[in-house]
Amino acid sequence: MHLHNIDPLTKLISRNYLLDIIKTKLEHPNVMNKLSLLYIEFDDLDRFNDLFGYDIDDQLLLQLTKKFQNIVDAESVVARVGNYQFAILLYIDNIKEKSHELAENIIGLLREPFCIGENMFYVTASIGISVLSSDISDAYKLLKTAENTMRKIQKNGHNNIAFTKLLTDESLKKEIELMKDLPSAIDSGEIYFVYQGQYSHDKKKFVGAEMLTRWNHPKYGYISPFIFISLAEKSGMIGPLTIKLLIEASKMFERLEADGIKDFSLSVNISPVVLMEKSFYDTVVFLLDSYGLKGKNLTFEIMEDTISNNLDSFAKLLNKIKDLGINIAIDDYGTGHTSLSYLINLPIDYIKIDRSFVTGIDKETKKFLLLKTIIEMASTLDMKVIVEGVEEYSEDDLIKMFKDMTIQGYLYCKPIEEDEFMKKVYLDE
Amino acid sequence: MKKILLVDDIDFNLEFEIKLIKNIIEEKKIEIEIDTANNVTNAIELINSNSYVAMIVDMHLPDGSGIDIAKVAREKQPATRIAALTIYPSQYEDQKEYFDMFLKKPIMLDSYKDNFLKLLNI
Repeated sequence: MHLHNIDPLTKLISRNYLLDIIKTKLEHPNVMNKLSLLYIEFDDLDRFNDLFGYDIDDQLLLQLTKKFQNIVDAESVVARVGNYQFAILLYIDNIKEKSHELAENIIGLLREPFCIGENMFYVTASIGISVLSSDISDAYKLLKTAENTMRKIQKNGHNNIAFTKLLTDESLKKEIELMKDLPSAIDSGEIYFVYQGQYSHDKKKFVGAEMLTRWNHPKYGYISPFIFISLAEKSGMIGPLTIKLLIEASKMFERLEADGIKDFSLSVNISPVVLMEKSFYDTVVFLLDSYGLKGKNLTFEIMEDTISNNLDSFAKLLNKIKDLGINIAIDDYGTGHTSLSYLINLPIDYIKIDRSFVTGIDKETKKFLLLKTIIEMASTLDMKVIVEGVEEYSEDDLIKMFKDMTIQGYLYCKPIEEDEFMKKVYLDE
Repeated sequence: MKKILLVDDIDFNLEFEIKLIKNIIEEKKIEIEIDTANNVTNAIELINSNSYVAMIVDMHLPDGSGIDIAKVAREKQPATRIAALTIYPSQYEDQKEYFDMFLKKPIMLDSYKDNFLKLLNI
């Protein structure tokens, strides 16, 4: 095989060599409806170079190659046919079903993050499939049809996950549309923020609030944050969204101060994807300096379930953030699968006890005792506690037994818009 | 002093860009004066009465497009370096001639900084 037939980075065969292989296959008898080609294009891999540094795209391509090679059988051929384009040639019975299955497997692979060093990446792609038939009967046509199919659906997906016609269904179409609309929704303010107050039993007033993100989509209406945050994480939009959230926090601090409300804390959720971005720390420093966030009572909430297994580097990063004067809270405490040792290794100021440990404490003694134990443990480790999901007076009465409790739940405050929230805070002051 | 023009209809974005540029100016120890406009009309008024080394123009404006601004700027001040700020750079493939570069929205700190310096040939 000539060197120019091999891609020097991935060691996969090239576009021209793939065409030669297809031509050879075409010489086999009964090849009709047994041969298909998947044309896969990855979206904007070079954007990761901006975020994480030079040549991350190359490393991602190498990992993708490895994953492809692991999921195809010995009869299939994987080729690199362009910068971010791969093709897989399948030669098998039940070709339509098998191609469909393989495309789904590939999309499935992409739902998992890629890890390079300490960074985590979500990669998205569009896949076009063509099957050898009387209409598509030569090597070039097979490749070109798959590519064209991919291009067509890629337009719908606009640099995001898109599927061949074979794979499209309503929910996926919606997902693609939402992903496409995310950047402008962030830019235009269609995605906005609400506040859920945190009430102190001891001080008998609101002492802080968690800022939550909302999206009222013009076509689909209310979109659950679980959905659009995950889409933002996949599409590289979580960084800009977090920047917007932090700037909004700075405006809220200004407003609170102008109204004479001091010592008020604001918490924002920080996705592990953002946290692991190389530029995140510098971004936070910039926002602190430029938007007057320095010295403010700002808390970063990190979901327990996303705490990295690499505790050492995670701790290092959180310590750096803490040195900037930002508090760290563990969100949804008790729901993760991480070893509890993180409580010792990470610089945690608050633990937010998940609602599942709170709902029903007035009815189940064991549940109440578990909550009591968690509160005592936190206090021993010098961490403050925020109890989430308090919805009943009977639950709240039991929590009042403990000192220095902060409550975040519908009983005191639903997530509400800024003006309404400010009225609530004034009433308590 | 060198002057630049920023055009965006969303104040939040303008404020963010100004702070970012001030940060770069401080870091690189350069002196730049920043003018801002919220729409095409305003921007063209400013171009008619000022000389800019560079401008960063949002493509989607209430009374027109960034192209309307770039066309006037190219005629009046051919040496001005112009960057388009847009979510979808690929939509403007045919109008590339009016711009020296395309910056992606929403703004990412690192790439904005790098591109800003390139725009100013620094």
